[in-house]
Amino acid sequence: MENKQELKAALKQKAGAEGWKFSEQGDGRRVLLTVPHESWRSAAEAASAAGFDRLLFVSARNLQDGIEAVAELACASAPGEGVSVRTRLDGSERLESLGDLWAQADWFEQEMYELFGVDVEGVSREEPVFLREGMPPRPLRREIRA
Amino acid sequence: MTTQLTFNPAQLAGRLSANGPYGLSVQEDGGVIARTRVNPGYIHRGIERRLEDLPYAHGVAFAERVDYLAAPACAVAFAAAVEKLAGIEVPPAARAVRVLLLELTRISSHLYFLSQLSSSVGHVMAQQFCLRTRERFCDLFELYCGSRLAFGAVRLGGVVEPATEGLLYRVEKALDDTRDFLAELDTLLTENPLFQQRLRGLAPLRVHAGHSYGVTGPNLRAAGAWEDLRFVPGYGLYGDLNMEPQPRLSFGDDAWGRYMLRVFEIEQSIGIISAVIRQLPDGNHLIPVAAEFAPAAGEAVERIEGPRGEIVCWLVAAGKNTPDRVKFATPSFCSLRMAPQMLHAVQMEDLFLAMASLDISISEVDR
Repeated sequence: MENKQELKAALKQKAGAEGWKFSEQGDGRRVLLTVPHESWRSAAEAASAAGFDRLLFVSARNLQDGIEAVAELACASAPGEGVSVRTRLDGSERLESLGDLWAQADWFEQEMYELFGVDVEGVSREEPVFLREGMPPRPLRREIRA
Repeated sequence: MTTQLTFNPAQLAGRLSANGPYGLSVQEDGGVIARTRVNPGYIHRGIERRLEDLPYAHGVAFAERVDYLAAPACAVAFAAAVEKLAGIEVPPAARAVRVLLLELTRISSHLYFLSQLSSSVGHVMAQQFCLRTRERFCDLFELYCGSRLAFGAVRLGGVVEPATEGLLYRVEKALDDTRDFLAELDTLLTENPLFQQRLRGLAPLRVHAGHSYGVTGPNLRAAGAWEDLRFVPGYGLYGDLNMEPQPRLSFGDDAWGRYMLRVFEIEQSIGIISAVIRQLPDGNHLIPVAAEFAPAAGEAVERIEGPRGEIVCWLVAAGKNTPDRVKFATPSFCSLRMAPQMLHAVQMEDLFLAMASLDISISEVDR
């Protein structure tokens, strides 16, 4: 098994070079990599190259002033370690898809689009997969909840 | 000539092998499946949304609704994420009871899988025998906490009741009966040449493809990838048990391998439960947590090995007594996403058998 500390250090170096925000959470076993939306895909690729090559999920959450998309990555050989790639969105941006890096990502992206309205390349606008006709659109958005 | 066949959720919900309502659109060419489209989304219950309104203590019970066949696994994933965030140290006795519940659920869920598979090949007697044995486990859950499906057994800081001697006696009796049943199952299914013929070579799931689709759990392990969070030294609930390393066995990447692996895992769970009962620690089963409890702002990710694979819970707290965001990522989501690829070139008459061999719980796909 490769040394996770070395891989994290390489990821930190890459983040520094690209101007991404690198922070460690809790006991340092989970890394938060906050990037601009243009770097969403390249940050996920960099984390994958650093050994965090299992995609646990892609999703989003409400912020006070916008939405944050999150791709949670894990390391198959060290289940306690993880990298969370995240990007802040104000609603008009379109994210690059992670579907060609992880085959299941397209369903997660479709779910994120239907629940939060986060636009990702390749999502189907006409044919919803997870919500049926008559359900309120973007039900997890804060303004809809209010 | 190709034909398009569409199965609507009402048709699939009525089939035991389909295990819930979803849409399936199949294009067949000469009796062989050429293309499949899966359409979940018919039982979206807004569980993640609802959890954002519930106090943490109530959320644990509600999280069980993510998958009714693995209720304690979902509750443990949610509770463990809250406990990690709040720094709550769960007593050893409670951790042992949680393992007990998870393993009993694994056996119960695998027995349900066996009943689905038997039903799909038309072996009604084997199906009934599997369900009869599964009832023994539902009885145990009822004895422990008064409920057979969604238990309410997991609480923040522990579990609802200690494991009493009477309960452990009944558990050991149920395990003995299950050992007898497995011998019976050999005669009914495993050694049945027709059953073998139907399953061998059906809907193969290669390890590499499984990894790229994020498939976890028995579906992937059957093909030879022994990724199992229970056996990672020092990780999670099972870290206390000093378990033997997982043996590297491959039962095959087809439906037969997935059947054999689950039979093996039932035996394995029986061994784990017996080990837990032998070394059950004394002491408190619960650290009381106030109903208005609010952890500090932050977030946690917790991963639990459920009966169908890894259940991931992402929890974000904003310092209130309700979560800011809860997300469940479940194993059936990835298995169902991969189903169209696995169904390619499968004979039409084997469609539902192939789907049953994936052990998908639509309830956890569509939360």
